[in-house]
Amino acid sequence: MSEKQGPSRGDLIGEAVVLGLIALVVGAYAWDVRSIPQKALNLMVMRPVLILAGILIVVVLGRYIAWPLVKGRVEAAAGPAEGGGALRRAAPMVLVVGMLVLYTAVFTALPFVVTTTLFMAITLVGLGNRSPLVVGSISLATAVGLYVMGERVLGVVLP
Amino acid sequence: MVEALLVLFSPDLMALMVVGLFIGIFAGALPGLQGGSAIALCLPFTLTMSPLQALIFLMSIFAGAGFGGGVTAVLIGIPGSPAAIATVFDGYPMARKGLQARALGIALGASSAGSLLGSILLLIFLFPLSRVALTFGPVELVLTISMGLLVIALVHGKSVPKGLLAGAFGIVLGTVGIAPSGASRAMFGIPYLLDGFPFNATLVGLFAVPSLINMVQIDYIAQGPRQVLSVREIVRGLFVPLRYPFAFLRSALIGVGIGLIPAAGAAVACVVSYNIGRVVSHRGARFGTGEEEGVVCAESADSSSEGGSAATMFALGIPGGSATAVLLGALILQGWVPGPRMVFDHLDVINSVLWGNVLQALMLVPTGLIFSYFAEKTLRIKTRTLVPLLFAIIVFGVYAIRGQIIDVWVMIGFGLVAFMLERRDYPLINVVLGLLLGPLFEAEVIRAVTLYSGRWERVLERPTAIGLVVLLVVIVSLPSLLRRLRSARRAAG
Repeated sequence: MSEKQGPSRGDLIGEAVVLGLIALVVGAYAWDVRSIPQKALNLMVMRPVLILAGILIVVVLGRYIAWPLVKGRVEAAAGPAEGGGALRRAAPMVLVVGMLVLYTAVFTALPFVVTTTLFMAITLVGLGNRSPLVVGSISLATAVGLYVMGERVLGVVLP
Repeated sequence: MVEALLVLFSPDLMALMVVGLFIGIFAGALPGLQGGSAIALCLPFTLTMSPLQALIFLMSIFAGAGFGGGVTAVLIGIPGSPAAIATVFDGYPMARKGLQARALGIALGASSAGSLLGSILLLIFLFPLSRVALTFGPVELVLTISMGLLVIALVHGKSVPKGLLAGAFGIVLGTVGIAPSGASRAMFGIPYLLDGFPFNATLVGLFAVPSLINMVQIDYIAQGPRQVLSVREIVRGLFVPLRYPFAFLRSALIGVGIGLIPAAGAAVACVVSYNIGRVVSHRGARFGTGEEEGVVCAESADSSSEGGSAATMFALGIPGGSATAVLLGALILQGWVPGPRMVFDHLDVINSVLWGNVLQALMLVPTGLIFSYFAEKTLRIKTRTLVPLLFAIIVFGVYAIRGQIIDVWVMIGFGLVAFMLERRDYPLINVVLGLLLGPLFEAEVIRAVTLYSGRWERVLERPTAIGLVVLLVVIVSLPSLLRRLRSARRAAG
């Protein structure tokens, strides 16, 4: 009979990061509203919701992080080969998100057609598209197409 | 009625319907990109449209996605959306036997007919249902919203505490800004947050961004040897559901019924319908081996559930799934106020939309046929070419609405949070429901307390409220009861 596998260290870190993020948002909300007059209707719903969220954070923390740690059911970290595979799989995602952040950062600083063409071209090449003709035509067509749609059809003022 | 139909036959609405159906089928066929994500992607482009145009366009995407999920389910054995999971069970074995065109035809026929039945039932029952919904007071609305959040936590996620936490997290995010009583909450002095987070940016972030980030991990939508798709076989397959009238009718009605339950959605409908079909049908033993009836059961329930969930969305302002959640967001962007009065406040538009649904179900046959014929080529598009293009479109779309780059940052932030939540099994739909319905939930609770404070026994005079409480108790206790029953049976046998 196979023994039930426990979560890996990576899983626990993932759980902790997500739970930490939720706790941060809920905590920040609770911190900000502490000075609101309590007698009015301001927090009639939100106080119980915040308390419930707090309880659930503790439950999830206990069940998905503390309990496997206490029971010693945490699997060893992935080996170097497996870890390398995970990194290779994550690389395109990191590239896309990084390019998205960069694109947004320079969006209003440069003309729309320039930023969009550059974003498209660099991301397409980064994701493995090697043909300059394909990369160039798709990038330019997307940028010009969106620009024309924005300016002419939707009446949007683009950078 | 004639007026509503005449409006629909205008060239712009017909064009929007065809485009919407194609977008929906294509997006539905992309594993990872569901109907909700496709609607979220197109949401910014509807702002220059009238409410009718926007609704017709987005509902067409919704209808198209219902069938689109089945295309990849049949051809490559990967459901384009969770709602097509049961289509894989028999559709893919049929494709492996060389009957892929026939399986696609059956899926298209069952999907169109299911969608048509769902639309007709919606047309017949929406107004009576809305009249019942009009009698809903704040207590009933609070109970219905709670039911929606609980159903998702119990049915969709792998963990109930995570599902509930996702809902509470959504409510917290949804109530940032000015409270109904006028106090500012969690704004940290940022004027941008005065009206809370913008719907369009949050919805696109929550639905589209994680789907696209996930999609970049696969090279092509479909790989492997080329499959020959004969139009004649697809057309022959279209009529197969007629051979199984009882299976079709049963599945479609199950679909509509489950669609009506707030937040249950198409995925639940198609799995329940398939499993019932397997038990009830005398061909049940052959289900899972490439049985035509199995495809009919799965696809008809999947598509007919759209009618049910649209009814709940229109009548109560509570979405039945991720797609209707984004549709509701689109309505809010158009200035509509979700709730029982919505149907009566926008009667003429709703009337045309209902007839539009019927027309979309009919038009799904030719558009689905064209897509199915070219599916082989379409599904061989490199996803790594598609993803940057779709990212450029969503950044453009979110920026275009208000011309504020901060909206794009909000979209990215919500997208990354959604990506992480999804990876750790927090149901995103619960976050969205909390976000959309949080303010409504709060307003209704305040109304209920103001109305009944100190006189709570008066709630007992409202039979609908009592019925909803009973339903809520059943929903909460049913999973554990079923679990106990199963373990008792296992222990006995």
